[in-house]
Amino acid sequence: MKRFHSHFNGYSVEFSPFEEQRLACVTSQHFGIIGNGRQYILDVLDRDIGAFKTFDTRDGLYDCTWSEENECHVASSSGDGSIKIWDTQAPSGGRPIKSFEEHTKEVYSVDWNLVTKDTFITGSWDQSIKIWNPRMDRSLKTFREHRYCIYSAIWSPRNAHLFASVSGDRTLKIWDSRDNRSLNTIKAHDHEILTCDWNKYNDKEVVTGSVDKTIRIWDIRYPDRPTTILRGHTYAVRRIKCSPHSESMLASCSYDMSVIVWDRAREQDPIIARMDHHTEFVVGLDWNMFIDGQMASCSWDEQVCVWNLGRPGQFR
Amino acid sequence: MSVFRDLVEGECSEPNALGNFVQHFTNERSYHDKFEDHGKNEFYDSLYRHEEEYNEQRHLDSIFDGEGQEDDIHLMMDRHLNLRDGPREHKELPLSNVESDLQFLFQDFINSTRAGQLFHPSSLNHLPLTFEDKSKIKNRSSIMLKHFSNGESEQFEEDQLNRMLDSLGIEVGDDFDQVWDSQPHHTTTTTTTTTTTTTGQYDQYQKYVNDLPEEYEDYEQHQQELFDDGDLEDYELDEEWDKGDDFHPYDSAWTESDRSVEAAWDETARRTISDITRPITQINDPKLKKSNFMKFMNQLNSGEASIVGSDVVHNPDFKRQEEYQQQADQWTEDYNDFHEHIPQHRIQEYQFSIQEARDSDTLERGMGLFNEGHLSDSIIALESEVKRNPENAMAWMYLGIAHAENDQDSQATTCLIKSLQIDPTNSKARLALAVSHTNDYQKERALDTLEEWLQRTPEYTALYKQFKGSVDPNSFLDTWSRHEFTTNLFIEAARSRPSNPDPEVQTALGLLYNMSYDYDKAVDCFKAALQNSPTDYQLWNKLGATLANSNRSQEALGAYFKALEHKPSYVRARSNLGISYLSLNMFQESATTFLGAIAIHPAPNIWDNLKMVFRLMNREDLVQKADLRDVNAFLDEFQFM
Repeated sequence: MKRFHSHFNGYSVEFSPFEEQRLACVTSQHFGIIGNGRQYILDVLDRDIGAFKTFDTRDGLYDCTWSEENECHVASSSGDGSIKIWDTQAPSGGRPIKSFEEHTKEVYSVDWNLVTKDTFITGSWDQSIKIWNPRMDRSLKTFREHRYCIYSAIWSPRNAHLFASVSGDRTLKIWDSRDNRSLNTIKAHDHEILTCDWNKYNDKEVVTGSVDKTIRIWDIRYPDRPTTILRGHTYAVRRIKCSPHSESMLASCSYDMSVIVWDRAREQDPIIARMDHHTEFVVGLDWNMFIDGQMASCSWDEQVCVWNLGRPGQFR
Repeated sequence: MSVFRDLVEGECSEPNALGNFVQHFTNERSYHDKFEDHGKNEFYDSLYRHEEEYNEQRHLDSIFDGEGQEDDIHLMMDRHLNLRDGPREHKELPLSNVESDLQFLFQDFINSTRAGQLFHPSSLNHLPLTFEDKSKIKNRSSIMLKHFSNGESEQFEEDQLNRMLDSLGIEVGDDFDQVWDSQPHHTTTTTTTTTTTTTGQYDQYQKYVNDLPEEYEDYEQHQQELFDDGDLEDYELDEEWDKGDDFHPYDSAWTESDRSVEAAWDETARRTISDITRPITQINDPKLKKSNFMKFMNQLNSGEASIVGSDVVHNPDFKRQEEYQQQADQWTEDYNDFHEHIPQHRIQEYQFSIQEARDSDTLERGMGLFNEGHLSDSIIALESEVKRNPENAMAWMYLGIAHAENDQDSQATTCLIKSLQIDPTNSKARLALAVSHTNDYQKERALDTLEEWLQRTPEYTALYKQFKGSVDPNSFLDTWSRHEFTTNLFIEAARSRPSNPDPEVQTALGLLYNMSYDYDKAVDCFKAALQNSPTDYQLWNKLGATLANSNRSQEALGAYFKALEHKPSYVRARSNLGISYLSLNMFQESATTFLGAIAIHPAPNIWDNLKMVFRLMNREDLVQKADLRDVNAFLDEFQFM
């Protein structure tokens, strides 16, 4: 397992969709409660992980996403309500090439559209979701329906207009960006919902993770009950990422300091790996699209970790 | 108005807030002065000589694709080149004690909350926080606290938060909202409901409903600005629905917080010392005990950090030490429990696939079939043998190994444990058991098995005892540090034979490094093991699998070839070889290899892999053909026999 020590507490990590060895990671001083933020651009090298670039911000950074249309651009969302666009070719310590300032509270989630590739979406503690085009100075559209902080808003990987959002109001909402109202509201958990993701192989399926420690899998056509509930974490589930290589696999990280890799195809025992390589809350997680089984995680223990899961059973 | 509601309704502050915060940390002069003196030259130099040119010509062009938005770009550049917005301040800050104090405070706050334990922060009243800083701390910690607290009561969460805020000199009753609302925001679309703190009981839910119209007005306005009114009817229906009984957005979070700030504080102050110092021994999460929280407690204990608070609710130091000792005792106990609770081996009954033992199926026949790679037939023959002779450790072991090669790790585990029960000295069976546990992601059991292997191998028994005795059992409460310990144990064992590596020790080390995803180190171990057993086909396969997991598929091919050179019927290596060809996009070779494996042993997962290759070859016809599960149907196109 390769490790990188970040100066601040990790918040989010994402592999580049263009270069297999590159990843973006955002970190915040003092656990993101107060202090500066730092955007890292890291490279996975033969024996370790090296910092390619670093960019500093005044307030903490909570989430980041790579541009799908320009391999040099990364967007990160900040505690001060702004969203910064960074150019990874610029010198370290440079300024963002753009900063969008409309949200009035912490922006906890940012996600680039995988289909149209020219927009990204943000979810904020000001209870609004905004869609942006990096070329425009103002947001394209604002959605206000949630009744509490929004913790995650994620585009569908298949449908250009569809996105899902989850909130502390305990609902999962499915939206069509052309409509003003959500298509569907699912009361997905009995506690705050901190994360969601789409199945990359099934565009009807959304996975949510909550303070209630469970992961629930939803067929968005049938909102009355989850298709599956995965239990295994002992504290709130902080982030979920569905595998880009397998329909049945997903990974989650939690305030219980662990990362769990799940394979729903194994009905009796869906947990195929429980990893406790971090010593504080694990908050960032991603799969490498280019390398089957390669994963990255980051934690409040200031470690960014990259490892290859390996193929189950290959080793005899 | 409750404390929590108030906190959540607070505003996020201006982008410049941290500048002020930082200013207080650098005592000599203000941030801006500092920036002028220290940063300006460097900044102007770098920015105007290199960056400006660079920015404008290169990456701005690339982001805007020359779409004639240059005016906007310059506006944007002007905005972002504003020195006062500079994001560079952090680098210029020495790491001050103040910062680490704050880090410790938050760490303590987080970990004690997580453990359901009220904490006793030392007072950091001297930190000159601005209103914006205070608002951020208040807002964010109140929201985040709910994410990592473990189902504690609202009262606990409220107390915990109040303690933290108090230690920073943040008045819980401070009405931040009013202050912030008087300051300019970076947008004008704020919709936050601003409410002042008052004394008295509130029905939280009622309050929520009362707030709705304001939000909705805003919402409607928003709708009208951007879109037509067509959806409003639906929207009103939704409103009705939202008001229904089943919509309680905050009930778990806020129901008990419906008291005034003053009342809450009075109650806190009235509490007795024993109430507040709820025994820390209630923590029973082994991992948490060795986290920074524990380190923090140690520092308190050693006097490295101290409690300066004048508040009467703080315990005197000697009491704290007692408490600490109690914790330590309790933790040791917990640790012992923790280990006892790991089941040594969950022994299952072996599920036979045959009803009766057949006379013709002997150990020799089973072994012969196994060596030819006919796993299913070999399993049947070996089952006959163990049915006749349930005490034949050798037969159980080979049955286990055959199951392992056939991807049946739970069956394999059962057989290998049986074998070891009969003959605990069989080191080969024990190592195979560790491999099966590893394959089955049973890390704890794999570690147990490896340690037992070392303990039972006469050459290393002394080393094991010496090592085990020298280690504080508290130091490996979680799997990760346990793994580190076991790895060090085997490194020590390997060091005792520097020139003549013990293949079994090296294999075990290779396994351990695989578990921690240190594939490069694992490769070195397997190579060392192969020095002394160059014909061990399983070792060559392990080397190949490790190389493949490390994205070195090209090198893996060579290792698999070696494995097949020594045992051509080794299905596992063939199947792995096919996977490596697949990762290298060598589809034809991959399909041929999988077919060759199927011809020896038709396992369902190999058929699945084969179908995947056919799909990648865009050969839907072959995919359908594969569903028939007849390997001979492919003889005309692939030379696998």
